[in-house]
Amino acid sequence: MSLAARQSQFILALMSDDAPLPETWQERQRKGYEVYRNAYRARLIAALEETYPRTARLVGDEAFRAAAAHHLITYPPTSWTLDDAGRGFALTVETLFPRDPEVAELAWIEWAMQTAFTTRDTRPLDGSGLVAATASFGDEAWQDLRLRFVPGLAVRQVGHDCMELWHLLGDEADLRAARALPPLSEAQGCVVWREGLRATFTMIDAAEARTLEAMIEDASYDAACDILIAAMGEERALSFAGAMLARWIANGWVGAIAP
Amino acid sequence: MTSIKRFAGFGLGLRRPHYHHFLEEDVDLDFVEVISENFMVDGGKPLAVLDAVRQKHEVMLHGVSLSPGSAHGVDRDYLDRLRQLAERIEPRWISDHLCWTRSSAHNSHDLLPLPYTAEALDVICANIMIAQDHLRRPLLLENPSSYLCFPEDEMTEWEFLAEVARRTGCYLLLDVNNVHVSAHNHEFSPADYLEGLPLERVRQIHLAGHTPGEIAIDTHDRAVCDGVWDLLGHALARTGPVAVMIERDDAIPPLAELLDELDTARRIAATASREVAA
Ligand SMILES: [Fe+2]
Repeated sequence: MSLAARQSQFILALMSDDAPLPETWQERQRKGYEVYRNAYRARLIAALEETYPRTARLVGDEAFRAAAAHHLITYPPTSWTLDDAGRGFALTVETLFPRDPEVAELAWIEWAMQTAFTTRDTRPLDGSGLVAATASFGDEAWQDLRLRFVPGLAVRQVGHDCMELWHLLGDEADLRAARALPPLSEAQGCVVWREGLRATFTMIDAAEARTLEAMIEDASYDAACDILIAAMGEERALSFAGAMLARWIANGWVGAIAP
Repeated sequence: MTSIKRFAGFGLGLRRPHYHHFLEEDVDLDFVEVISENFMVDGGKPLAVLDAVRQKHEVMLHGVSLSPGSAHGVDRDYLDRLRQLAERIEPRWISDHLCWTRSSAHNSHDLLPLPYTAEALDVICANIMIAQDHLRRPLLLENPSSYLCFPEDEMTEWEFLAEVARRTGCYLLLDVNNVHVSAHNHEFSPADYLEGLPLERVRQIHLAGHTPGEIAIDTHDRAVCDGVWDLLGHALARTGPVAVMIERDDAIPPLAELLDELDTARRIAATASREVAA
């Protein structure tokens, strides 16, 4: 058997108790192998616990470990970095906890924060930068305005007050309150980004979140305003749009005006 | 390929609970070692911390994911990232382990054992040559702790490691705790192991604690044991002064405790150099 084939067999058996071990192995090898098998599982589950500490608190240790094990069997790690082991875990918990959508929402936030934490260092566009970049803009240029957002900025719709949930699952966790948190009467948006050297998040209006999502996908300011108009009517939308852009700039979400 | 000059001194692994000491104080160390992968990121706090520490200390980059023993070859994306980090940090040297971590499809995130065969020797030497070319410098290769020996082994670990060093021109990072652990697990003599290595190629020594048992496990979660201190003296009397450090990755105590432990290494090194002089 070639080294490549032996290595594939060795790794597959780390991931599954059912995968066969080499027939030439004696008791001695099997005992030694168990050390690697246990270490593999322990290390990866610990990596997920480190990425998702609040999700783990919310569902409880035992359920979290089962979910982590399920995730690792479904998506065994392929990347050289252990940080990637938790990629897609929000989708895993969405299927595992279908009646508790806040679990997936929280996991999504934790993953987006981990990702934002080590993104490329950039300087966001500030108010005076915006003024300078748009000084010569006529109506048409404004309608066609497109934004480049800072690396790591992520947005999604959520059905729970994730700020409150985050707080309740902090170091002095109030698990009972966290688990009893009722859903919001209307969905909202949640935005994760890196502020200086720390990752953070905030909640925003659902229509604003859809607008932000569209502009991240390269929609023009005009198209973004149409989303707001559909959500809140023309009059309100126009004043909302101006304040929204100012808020994005103030939060440090915008990297540049697209050329 | 350039050579790596000797650098004698005492260091520790840079770990998160101690960052504030390194950023705010003058920690009395000759170097720090960091896990390369933790800093192979695009930006943010980890790199900001490392940049600041680098202003004050020599840094060694110690990797766990090069996977030089993979039959599947080395990962170019990984090497690109590692080279970027090396260009930024200008480490004294870059090390990784005599092991493999991934197959064609999956990554174990563990230092898995190689069968010591001619085939594996060809594989690891080819991969190390590629890595050294890409990084434009020789590597240091560390002996791992291992928990199983393969029936197909054709040579001992020290024969294998010596041959890798001879063929690739790489240097050695001698982990005396790993020698101690593997010697227990595979019933060989630590002295034979050291005698079998080209000790003139050792540039760094690792010390660490392990969990004893029928199979001893390299846990880095406690103080260095007496047997490992003895082995340090034995090794230093043969390598001469090199970079010596303690690895601690779990149950991490206050920095002062590790600095105290490092004083034991300093005393042993002083005794070893007196023995060599005599
Ligand atoms: Fe080591």
